[in-house]
Amino acid sequence: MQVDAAKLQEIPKNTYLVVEKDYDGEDHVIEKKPGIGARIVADKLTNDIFSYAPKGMKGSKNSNFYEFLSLGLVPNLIGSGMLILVSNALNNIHTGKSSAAASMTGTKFAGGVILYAAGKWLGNKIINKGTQALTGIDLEMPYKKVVHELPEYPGDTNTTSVEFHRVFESSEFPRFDLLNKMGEQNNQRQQYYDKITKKMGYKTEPNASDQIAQDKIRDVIVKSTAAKSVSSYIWAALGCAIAAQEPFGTYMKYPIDPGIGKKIKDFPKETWRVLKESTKSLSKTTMGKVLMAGAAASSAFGILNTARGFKVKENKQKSCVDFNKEYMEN
Amino acid sequence: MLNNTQNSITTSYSLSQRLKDRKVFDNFKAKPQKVTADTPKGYLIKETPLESLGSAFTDTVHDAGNLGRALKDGKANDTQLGRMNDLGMKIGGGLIAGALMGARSTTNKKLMEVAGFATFFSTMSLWPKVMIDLPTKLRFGFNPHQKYMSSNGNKKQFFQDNQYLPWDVWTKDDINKVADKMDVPLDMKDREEYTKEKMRTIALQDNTLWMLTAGFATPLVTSLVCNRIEEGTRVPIANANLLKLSDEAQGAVSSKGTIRTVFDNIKGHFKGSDAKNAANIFTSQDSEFEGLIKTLKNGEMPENFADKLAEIFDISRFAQNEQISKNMTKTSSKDALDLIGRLFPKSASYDDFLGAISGDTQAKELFEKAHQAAVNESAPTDIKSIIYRVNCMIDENPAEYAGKEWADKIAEGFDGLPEQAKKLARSKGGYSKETLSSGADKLQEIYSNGIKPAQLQMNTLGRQIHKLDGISGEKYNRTARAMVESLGFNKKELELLRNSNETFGDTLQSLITQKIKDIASDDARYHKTMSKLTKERDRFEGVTDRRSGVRVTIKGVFDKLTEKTSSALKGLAAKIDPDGTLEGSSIKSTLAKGITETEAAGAKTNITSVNSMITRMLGSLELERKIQDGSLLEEWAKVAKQNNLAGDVASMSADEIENFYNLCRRVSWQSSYGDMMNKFYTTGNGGFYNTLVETLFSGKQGSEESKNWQNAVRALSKEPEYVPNAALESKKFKDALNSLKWEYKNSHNIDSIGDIPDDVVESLKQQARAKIGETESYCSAAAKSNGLNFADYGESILNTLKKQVNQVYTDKKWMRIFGGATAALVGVTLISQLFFGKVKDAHLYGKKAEGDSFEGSKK
Repeated sequence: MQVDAAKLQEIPKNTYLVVEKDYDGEDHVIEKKPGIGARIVADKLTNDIFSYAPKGMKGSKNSNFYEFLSLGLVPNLIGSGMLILVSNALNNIHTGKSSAAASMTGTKFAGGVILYAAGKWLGNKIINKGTQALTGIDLEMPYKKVVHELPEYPGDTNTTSVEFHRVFESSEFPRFDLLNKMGEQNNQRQQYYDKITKKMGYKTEPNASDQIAQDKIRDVIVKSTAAKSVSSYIWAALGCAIAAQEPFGTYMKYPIDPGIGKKIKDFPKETWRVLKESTKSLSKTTMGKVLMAGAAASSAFGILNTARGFKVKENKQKSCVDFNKEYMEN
Repeated sequence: MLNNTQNSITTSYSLSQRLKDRKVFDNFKAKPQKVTADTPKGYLIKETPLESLGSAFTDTVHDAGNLGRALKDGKANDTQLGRMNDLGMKIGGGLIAGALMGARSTTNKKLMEVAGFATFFSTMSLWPKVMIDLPTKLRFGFNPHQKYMSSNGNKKQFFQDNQYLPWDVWTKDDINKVADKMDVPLDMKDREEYTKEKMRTIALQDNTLWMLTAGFATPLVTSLVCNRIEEGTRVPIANANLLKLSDEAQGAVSSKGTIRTVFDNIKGHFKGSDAKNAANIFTSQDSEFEGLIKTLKNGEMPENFADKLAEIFDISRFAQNEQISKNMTKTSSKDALDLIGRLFPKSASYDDFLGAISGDTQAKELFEKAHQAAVNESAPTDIKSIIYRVNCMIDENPAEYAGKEWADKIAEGFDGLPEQAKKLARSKGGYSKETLSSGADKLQEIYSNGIKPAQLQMNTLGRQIHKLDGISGEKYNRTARAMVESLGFNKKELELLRNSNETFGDTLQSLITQKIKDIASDDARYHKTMSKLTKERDRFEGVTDRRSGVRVTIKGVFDKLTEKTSSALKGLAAKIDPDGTLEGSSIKSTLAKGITETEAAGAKTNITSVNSMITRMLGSLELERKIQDGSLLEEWAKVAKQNNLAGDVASMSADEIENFYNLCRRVSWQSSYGDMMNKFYTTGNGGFYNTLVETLFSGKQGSEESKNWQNAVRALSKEPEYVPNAALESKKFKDALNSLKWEYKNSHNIDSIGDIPDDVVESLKQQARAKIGETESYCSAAAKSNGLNFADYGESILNTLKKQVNQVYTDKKWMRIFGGATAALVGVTLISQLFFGKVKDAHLYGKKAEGDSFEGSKK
């Protein structure tokens, strides 16, 4: 099929775009910098305590689903703390041997709680990073959402609140509009999709890269989320199992309290030692082998399954649209 | 934007094209498509608790299906993806429980891992249901976690998103029912709207409260519940294990289809069957033994044969239970040498030796070299003459070769023999090829028919006793606790006992004495405590097998297990030696004696003391009773008279009587078996002790069990072979032996007493015993029977309580803190809900005006 190059040239590009704009008052993708995730969590936690919980307890109309979900952080943190407290609170009330034994059990329990969280985080991270490496899609890409609320009382002027979401948190409604907007800032609306289609194997930019990429992105979101929902918990279980090993009970245990200075100094070395020995000890048990192999396999499967069908063979036909033909109505 | 685009396109399209477009647009305008929203298909889900349990199960199955589809096709919606997370959490929870189960040693602890996770997840889901949903339902008439089916077929919580409430799934009736329950005035203008607003407010407040309390509630409630579960399951599980062991002891196979069998099968599947385990423990030993046999079959004597054989043929070590192994005689290299001597008769003549090597070309070559060497030294030149020279060597110093490994000596002493020839002589020394081969066969037979089965038996026994130990441990803790509780310490006393570490013993002793006195002086309390303790003892001692109605006790199971192993070993003794070659050998006698009483006693120590402990406690109460009613003094007078002792009670002063009572208390419950006997015997008061025991434990009161125990203690104190101060006696023995060893070392020019040969040490031991006037059995029986005495007599009550007071205190404190915290949380959760449901701007909802249609249910 012959494409009339002259006609293609005539199709206007980006004429309707605003090139320079301050997006602070609107939803926009945030540039990823180190520590941005921690800052978002800190923001959520602060808001949980000072804004979302009071709003919820008052029954405010402005409370929304995001706030409810953010409040989930509270039982997670309090629950972890309580678990550690329940198992360690009376270590000092015991005497002699039983104190040491209680303290060892308590350490294992606390380790279990922390390594559960760490395992879950790691399980998610591995699939996210693997997916990004193979597909170029950063599933964690954060965006800032500006929410306009109703006034809480007559004369309430503070009616704007900010939320932090992820562009790809929903498989049904990924915020493609924000990706467009991001591209528009560079006068290239399709910029992100071009990147993805390139990763998909298109050597030249397709005419409608968004049409091609968006379906694939949805596909990747679903597959990776499904894989993460299992894999991350296997990693969490592995973390717990590591903490349950005998060597973990000896973590930061001294016959005589050496003072905080030495403890801080020993901390990295001691952590590494205990993790290494406990992992070694776990690897000797059948269940340990199953967990280790399961965690690794679930991650590998998760990533590979997500990337399955992502690549396409080079499509030589640039477009299905024949621009030489004219529109006919039947 | 549309106009914009059109304008820019206008320039590039021909006019005709524009006209065509216009026509399309006109056409569209003329025939407008009637597009309306689909009829909503959503509805509220109204389920009974049972139905919701069922649908929780089917939903989980659906989730698994959705997960598979999502992974395969990449198709799922957000609700489905969200639910997959819950599925993953359940899978992870199961894995953790599995992993932790593997890390725990006892059934109870394993069970607690599963129970822990089950409780954790249940609490997580039940806390909002019971503490928030239920009060809301009762007070306001609706469930804040009401579920609905969306038009898309997703099951969702209605109030999950405060800003997306699809009210059309509620019927007017449903809302008005809630309104009625909330007492919303019937004449309110927007009654339904007001009710909805109120429901929204309450549900949001409930959800927020849930988020704020769940973090505290889940761990707190879980730990409290698990604490109770553990307490509750401890004894039943110990009993179930006891019954299982009892079955094993009787060789019965538990009936198929019971839950326990299923559990065992699953466990067996993970851990490998017993047979597989048994095969595993022999892997390295088998290969080592095969190595020895191979060497023998090659016609050579293996190096360090006796030592290796001693290790392989040792039976006790396979028990892998120190309590058993330490009391069993180990197979020594001496025993192994004896066995080798029996199975490998040496060829008596040098000709046989020559015969053994003559067919061997390598040997011939070597001895030719030796011959050559002999020639060079102007010695006789043929092999016969070499052998002749050997003869001469022996003749020169017959004493050196008498009864020794003559071939070794030849090899060592013959200067002319090259090194290889010496080695050959050593390996074939005195043994013909046939002897080695047939001996190897016999050895193999003994190994596979006797040693391995015996080792397997010991291994099984070791594992069983380990389990029994665990059962007994569980029961010990509960019994000791019951004892502490029976005395009824209050919080203040527990605190005092806990903190007064230095005067701990005295404080505790006087406090317990007081407690016991108090109980004994109060009739009702005395009988109550006695019957409670007796019940506890029955409960902990054993369990009645419901299938057969037979009472199974820890002690009984132990005896049965050892008896079974013992008779199995005895049977093996006959099996390994049908022709009597091994008669009198140590290996046979080890098997033939089975498990001796002394050997069993060591293993029994921790297992059977629970009974005695509580019996002692009962005895102490009885004693105090006897002191208070004066019958103790009467009995004492009677016994003293019978034994011709100075027992004139009438002439005793008050102080003397008090001293006597204290003495009785010491014997009865304050001291351990060893303490008590030693104190009397070392001060030469053995006779008095016997009389005292006679008085104290004459078994006038109490149950059959108490009488048996008291009789046992009385018997113990009279048996002559039980040396009261075993430690003292063995020290005397050790001193005597050491001085003999030093004498031997000095007279024989040995570097250290450690280098004295074993057989010499044995003879020195005999001499030492003779020197201090002790028979062998006297000394060893005393040393070994300590455990038996302890088991039969029980731990000192003081000791038991010392150990338990802390535990009881900690448990109580734990319960106070976390039980209190939970109660406080429940209070806060419930009370805060009293303030829920206030609708903002409620005053704006006006009254129904004349002519307004009314939609309430109470028309």
